Amino acid sequence: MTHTVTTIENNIALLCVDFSDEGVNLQGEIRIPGGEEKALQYLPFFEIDLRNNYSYLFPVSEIIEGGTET
Amino acid sequence: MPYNTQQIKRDQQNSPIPQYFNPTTDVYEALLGRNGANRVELYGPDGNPIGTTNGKLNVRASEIETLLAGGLPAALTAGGGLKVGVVDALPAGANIVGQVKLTDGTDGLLINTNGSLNVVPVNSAGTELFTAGNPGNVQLTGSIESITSAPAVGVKTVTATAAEIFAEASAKANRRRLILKNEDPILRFRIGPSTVTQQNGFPVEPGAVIEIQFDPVTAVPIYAISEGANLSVAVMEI
Repeated sequence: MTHTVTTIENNIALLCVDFSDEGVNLQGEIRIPGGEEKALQYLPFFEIDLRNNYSYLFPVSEIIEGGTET
Repeated sequence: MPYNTQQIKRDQQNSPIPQYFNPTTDVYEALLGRNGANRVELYGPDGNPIGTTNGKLNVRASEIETLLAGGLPAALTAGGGLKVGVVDALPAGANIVGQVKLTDGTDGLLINTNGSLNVVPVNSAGTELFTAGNPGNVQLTGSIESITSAPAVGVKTVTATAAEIFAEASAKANRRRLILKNEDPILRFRIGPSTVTQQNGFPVEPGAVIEIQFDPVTAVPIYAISEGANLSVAVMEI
């Protein structure tokens, strides 16, 4: 995932994320009051929410079942 | 040559016929006529023949002279224009019509300052509608109460850092309604404008649902902040 932060009016930061680098066509943007620092604080939560809400877009890693040899 | 030097016209019995002397051609010519009357050319008091335009005599009848001399002013408007009754349809163009009465009623149509017609809706009985005593029935179509696209849903994490709240990856365009449900069993969060804080925001109690209605053409971001630890909020945008 890549992200950018740009400041728009009244000290509001626009946080933009893009999952194209993971092969997922998903982009999001959110306004965060308080500037770039606050935006970066919220970034992990925004990312997790998007991954959860759009879980159907992300590839599911296979769980390899196995046992221990006796 | 003078007329008395020319021979007058005569018929088969050698009698003089009705005739006149044409000084241009210097000969007598037979008088012509129709329906028992001679042809006549009218002359004005100045001795000149009265002309014609498109076959009509250039004459002002005495009745018209009378009107022009004093009969018309009583029918003139304050601006000096003629008062006329409109019988034929007005031609296309920028016709300016003053006050118009559709019937013989005492009230004329009113024009608003923006040029629109001032219309008072009435029912079939002639009673004015949309008054306190007669509110009338109205059915709205295309109002912001109607859903015009699929709703957007999602779950958002609200933290102690204020952030915009919406359902999907960004705020739904032209949204009409934002519905938030606090899914935390203990903690409250607060919503408000970009200046929202843990103290001044509007509180949403644990388990509570709040709906905010929007004008679809005006994008208004709503921000949320937790009063304590992180919590989950179910969001739907319509």
